[in-house]
Amino acid sequence: MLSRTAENLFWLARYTERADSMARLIAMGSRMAMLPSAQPEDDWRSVALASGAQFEGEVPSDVAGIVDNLILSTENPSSIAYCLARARENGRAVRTALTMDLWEALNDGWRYLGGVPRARGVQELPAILDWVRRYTARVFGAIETTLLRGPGYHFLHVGARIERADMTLRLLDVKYYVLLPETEVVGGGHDHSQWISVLYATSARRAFHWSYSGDYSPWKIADFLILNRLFPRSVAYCYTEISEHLDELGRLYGQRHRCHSTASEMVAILEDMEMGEIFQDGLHTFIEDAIARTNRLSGQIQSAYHF
Amino acid sequence: MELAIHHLTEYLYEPPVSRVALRLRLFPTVTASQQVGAWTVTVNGAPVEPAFANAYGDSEAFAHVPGPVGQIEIVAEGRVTTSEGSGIVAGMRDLVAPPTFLRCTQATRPDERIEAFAREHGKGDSPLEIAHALSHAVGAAIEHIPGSSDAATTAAAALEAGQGVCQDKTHVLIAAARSVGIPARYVAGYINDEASGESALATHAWAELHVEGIGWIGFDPSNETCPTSDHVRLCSGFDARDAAPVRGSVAGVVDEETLRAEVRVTEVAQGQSQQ
Amino acid sequence: MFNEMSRDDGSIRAAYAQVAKWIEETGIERLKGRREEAETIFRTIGITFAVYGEGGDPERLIPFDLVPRVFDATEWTRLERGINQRARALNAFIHDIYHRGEIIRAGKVPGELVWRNSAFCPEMIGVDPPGRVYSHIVGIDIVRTGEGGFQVLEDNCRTPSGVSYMLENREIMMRMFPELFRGNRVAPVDDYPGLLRKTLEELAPPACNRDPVAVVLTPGPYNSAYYEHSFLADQMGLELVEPQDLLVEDGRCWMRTTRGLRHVDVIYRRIDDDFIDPLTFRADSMLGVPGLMSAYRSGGVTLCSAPGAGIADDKAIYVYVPEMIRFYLGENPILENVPTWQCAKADECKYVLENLADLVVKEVHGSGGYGMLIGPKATEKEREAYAERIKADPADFIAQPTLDLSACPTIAEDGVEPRHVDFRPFCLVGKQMRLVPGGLTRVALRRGSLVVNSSQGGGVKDTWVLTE
Repeated sequence: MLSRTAENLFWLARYTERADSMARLIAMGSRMAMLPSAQPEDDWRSVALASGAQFEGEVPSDVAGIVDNLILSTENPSSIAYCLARARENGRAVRTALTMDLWEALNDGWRYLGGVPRARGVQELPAILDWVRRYTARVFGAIETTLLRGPGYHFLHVGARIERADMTLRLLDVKYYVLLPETEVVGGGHDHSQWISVLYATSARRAFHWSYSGDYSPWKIADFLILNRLFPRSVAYCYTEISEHLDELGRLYGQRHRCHSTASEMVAILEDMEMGEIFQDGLHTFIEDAIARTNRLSGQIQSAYHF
Repeated sequence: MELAIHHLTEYLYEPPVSRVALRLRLFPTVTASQQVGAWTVTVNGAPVEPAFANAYGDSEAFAHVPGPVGQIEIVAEGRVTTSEGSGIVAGMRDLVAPPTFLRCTQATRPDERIEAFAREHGKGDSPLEIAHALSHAVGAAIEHIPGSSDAATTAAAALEAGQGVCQDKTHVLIAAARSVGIPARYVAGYINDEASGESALATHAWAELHVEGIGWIGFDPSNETCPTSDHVRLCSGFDARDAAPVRGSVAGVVDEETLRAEVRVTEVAQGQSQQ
Repeated sequence: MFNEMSRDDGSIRAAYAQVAKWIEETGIERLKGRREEAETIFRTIGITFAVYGEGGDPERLIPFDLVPRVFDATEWTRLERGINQRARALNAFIHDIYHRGEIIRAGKVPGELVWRNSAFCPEMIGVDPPGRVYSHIVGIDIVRTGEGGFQVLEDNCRTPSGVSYMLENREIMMRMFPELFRGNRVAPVDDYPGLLRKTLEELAPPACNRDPVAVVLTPGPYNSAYYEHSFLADQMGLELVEPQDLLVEDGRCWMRTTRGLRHVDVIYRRIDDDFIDPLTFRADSMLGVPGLMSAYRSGGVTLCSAPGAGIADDKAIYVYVPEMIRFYLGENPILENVPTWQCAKADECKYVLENLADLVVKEVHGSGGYGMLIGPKATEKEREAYAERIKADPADFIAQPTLDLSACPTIAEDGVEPRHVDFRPFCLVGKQMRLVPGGLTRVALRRGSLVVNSSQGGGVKDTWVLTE
């Protein structure tokens, strides 16, 4: 396989995943702004910061700014329209490596957001976010149901899981630093509802309920998002998948690289770790370290396969 | 005359780039009046051999340096023995039909000024006389002022400004010659420091004009002479860019590229001559 | 006007019997409905050509007309011989002018016309590509003006495009109208990709001592023919590479793969000469592979087509192709040229200027139907302006009579009407000549229009060759 093909697939999946995560994050903001304790400006600003996006000028702090910058913008690399265009562009560059189903999923309606004016974007925000999730689900569905389990399949998965792990980590970090206003005490009323919002952003509220019987302590929520091995957006789950798909690549190519040991080390760390230890050493320190590791891993994968 | 030549070209890249590819035409031509003795070309210390001789009769090499690379040092050095040949280029394996060199390039496209200049000065009873007349006229029309032009200056702009360096004079001569139907090509090479009176910071350039019945003849408008035994011919092309002895291509993002060149050409005294 | 389907007395030519019956039975409304259906399929599969920077939808469809264009076996046999003959002569010419130039020495082709032509590539002088093949895929544009009157309008020796439409149009027709094929004996075209791959591989450098690796080199997804590039690579089972996937080392060409560097022996490149190697050609090319010419010269890789092959399809050279056929092959041309006046010649230029209203004038280096003057359709003012351009640079222009192109039944708004067509077969030149029975029929969709270029309102049709 051409290195560029692997690279395009890796990024196809990352951008699709990023669009999906972004839709979930904005849905969270939309919900927070509806709460009685809402401070809409702060809430939307939190969403903007949690997105990891760069903004020209001020960080947007209202729904119109979010729609502009994070959904419709064709220039901001964090915006959903941008991510979908890049995902398709990466797909188009490797048409021969895609199945017809996957190509159709990418090609069908990808320009939809281009035709949405800002006013409608604000008004029909939930419907638009739903559309995004349907689009991305169709792409990932096509990958699962039609793609050969060759190297390409594994590069797609590694890309998607790296992006997802990164997003979950970033969300937690922002919750810790940005979502929590200085005047609030940990565990206060606003804090409580914001932690629940984080569950919303990761579409995990019901799953969390099933696993932790409704105990919304920050501790439990962080445990769920970092260490739970059954929840598909947790860091531990993402890393397990990354490691498995890298192992498959290692087997297919008969060669292991540094990325393999970086991934399996992280899996082992997350397996042995207790939430107590994480909170003791500081959630922020842990997250920072994990984000750095994820970046390093991404770089190692790119150099191992000559991207 | 035996000449010792040392030619260094250095590129610095910031930040370092992921790969550098080079096309080198740093191998002096073998002609009736130019014999090449020991000659080496190295890139960052590694020797480079010519891969083939192209249709112009020049030897070419390709070299690449894998990254990250922040510095490239190309050294061509050795000895060349030259003799007087009245500028006539003989004994070269040159396959290109001379009329091909009537083609224009961006740098050598004649404007009205050049066409008028060529008509006014290109007078004589024979093509040879016309060629000489044009070469002299160019030498007189363009004052040698280092720094007054750059690599992208066209023949038309140089003649209008009335100043330039050897590259500009050569371009003007080529453009003028072609405009009166004389095939002309750009030659890159070296010149004995004694002859030019200074140590050069770059290679020298002159033109070759094709004169019916004689063949290719060199004209050096900078020195208002035909190439002598002080000249060492490297390679030729349609213009300076086409005849560049070193062409490079960089993979990766370059914020800054700096180039330094140094050429030393000295005459080897009889006694020092290698056995 | 020669009507491909019906004679002047209204009778239907034998080759079109089934098609005519089918048109009548289906009726215009259903045909229009099915045309939309076909369009949806094209759009979904993504068979588009990209036009960037003009606003609007950057990925456009070439309109597809459902009514096939049909050749009978006798017509095709003659065409086939004529096409092969022309492709051989063109390659012989390219080899000759990059070597001894016998045809110039013999005074048959003026040297200046070759040497001073920007399509003539001095870097290729003395180079011997494997099999002495320069143009591996020769696309010859053929028009018809009468019963037996096939004429060659233009040759394409670099990288003629459109073959993907030949294949896709057939696929779609077979999918949508199986009954139409059951009754006819339509020769298949689907082994084209296999033959192209064979052609590429058999011209690997002689030094290649294992199974040769061929690739398709595309400038990338923004190129207008990107769909065709990816389609052909996919059909041939070859990698579709972009310039940054390739590099040159040790006199060889390599591609970057997830396993490291891998040899490349043959490159079917869909990038123009000027852009293939920034170290030899345009230095500002972002599309090139630095050192590719060096690897090519050293016999490390084969380029299809060879740099400089375009000299043979230059419009100024076109006039001399019949002469080439006589000179190199000792044969009489089977397919004729369209009569052409060269404005470079004073007397012919004078004729052109005096008869502008009846002629089509083309720029020698132009392509795609741009920059030409269709005399009878132009206004007095346009003709005057064009005349000034000709006078300023006569050598840049040639002129031809306004051809009465044949017309083929085509679905129009109100019914099936005749529309003008031309035809481009794709001749493969390897160690042997290969021509699939078919090609691309382009059709001018506007009533009366003679311009078939897709960029200017042209469409395409399936092309049938009936077997005996």
